[in-house]
Amino acid sequence: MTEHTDQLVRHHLDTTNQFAQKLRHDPAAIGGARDAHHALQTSVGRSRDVASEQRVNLASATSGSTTDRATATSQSLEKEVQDLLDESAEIEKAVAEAAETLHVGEIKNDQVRDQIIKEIAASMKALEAVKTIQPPESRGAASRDILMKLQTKISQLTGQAATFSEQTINDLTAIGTRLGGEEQATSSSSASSTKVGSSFNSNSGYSGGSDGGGGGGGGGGAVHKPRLPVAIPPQPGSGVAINLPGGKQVMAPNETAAKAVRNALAQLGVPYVWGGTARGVGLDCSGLTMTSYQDAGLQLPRTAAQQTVGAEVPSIDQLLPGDLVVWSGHVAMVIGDGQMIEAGDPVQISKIRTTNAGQSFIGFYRPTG
Amino acid sequence: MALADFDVELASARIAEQASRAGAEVSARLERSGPVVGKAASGGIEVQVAPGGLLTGLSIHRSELRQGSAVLADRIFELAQRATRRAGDRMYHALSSAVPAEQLETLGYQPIPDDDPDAETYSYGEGQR
Repeated sequence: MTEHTDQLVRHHLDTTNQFAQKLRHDPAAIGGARDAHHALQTSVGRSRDVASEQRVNLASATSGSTTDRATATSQSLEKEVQDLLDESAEIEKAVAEAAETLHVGEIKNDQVRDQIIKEIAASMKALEAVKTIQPPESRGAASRDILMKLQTKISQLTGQAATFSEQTINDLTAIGTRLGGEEQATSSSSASSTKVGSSFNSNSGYSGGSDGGGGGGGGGGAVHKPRLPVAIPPQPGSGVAINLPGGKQVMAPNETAAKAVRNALAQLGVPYVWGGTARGVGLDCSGLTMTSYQDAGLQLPRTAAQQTVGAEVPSIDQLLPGDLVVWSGHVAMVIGDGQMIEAGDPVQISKIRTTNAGQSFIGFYRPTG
Repeated sequence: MALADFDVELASARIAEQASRAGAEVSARLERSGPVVGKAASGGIEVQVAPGGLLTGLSIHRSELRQGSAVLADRIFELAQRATRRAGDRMYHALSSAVPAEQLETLGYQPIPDDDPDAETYSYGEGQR
């Protein structure tokens, strides 16, 4: 009984737990970063005040063109420091906003998890009560009703969790994008004005070297690599042949499977989005397999563990392109040549395996039977 | 941080404990009252079902055989439904303190209002709707 409950709880909380992992963060660290940032800001502000004071002293004490130039440079530097301070305030605000978004996301996920636990607890009570029904033959139907209802409820709740997760991630992305856009503007304006020592810019990827570059510089200067679909070889429009990116051609057992594999390959490089079923935009593992088969004309259930349909393939050496490798919380599609495609981040090709961190392997399945 | 500290084992142990307590409460109650059945009778026909509707007893007096087979079938069918509702009513009262209402609804265990023709207090054994 306890073992059974344990499995049920583990399985059904898998989703919210995964989400929790994604949102996992350290509020103390974020707070620390914010405080440090604030301290930096204060000290930069103090330098600006000192510089401005010095300039006034300089201007009043001396005269001549050298002094004018020096005063102008100093003024311009002051302005840049001010820009930096403005930008810095922007970053500080964004950090606070991001922390808040994460926090809200966590709370929502927590609520969904509580609800799932409540549903499981209620169902387990009912199942225990059903055990008292006489004769025993009439218990089966009652238990089935309870479990089916539980399944429906949890799918709904899990869907909610996914929506919240997507929303949180979208919000975070929006905050990041806004910050990135403004940074870009600031950095290009500063590039065209005062020349500051080149070492200042030396670690910023694209903008180093040319003063007009600007774009993508800023914040730590990480090189930004755009995420694009991955190029794959041209595919036959029909038939069972599949051209793998490695150059090999493999044969699927039927046209539906072949189409599904070709559809899946077309998603290589698509980012992982939890609960995602948007092809070319964002997919999760079961979203990849489901939509790939769907576009080939076969409807699969939505979640990984439910995609155990069609026929079971008894061993790894009998796998054919289009077969699914199913874990308790993950699924991948065999593409042939010992490889499979799965929605990690991003969608990628890997060697066929039966292990997946912390999850139990359910089996190999051929949806087309 | 609360999320990171979430303990699945503790949650499932708690659920298992609550469930077994609910189970114990229900079985103690049913031990006193005997197994729940639903019964309905009319004329010479008696139907008995288990909660959920599984037929556990049926008796038809010879006199009832005079009516046509279609009428007989209809009456048995109607009585079986009534017996099932009655079993559900009894289960509802037996479980309502231990099992959440929504689960009882899923199981189809619902109380029968007193003025319902299917209620046991309402012309028991003579109900002709």
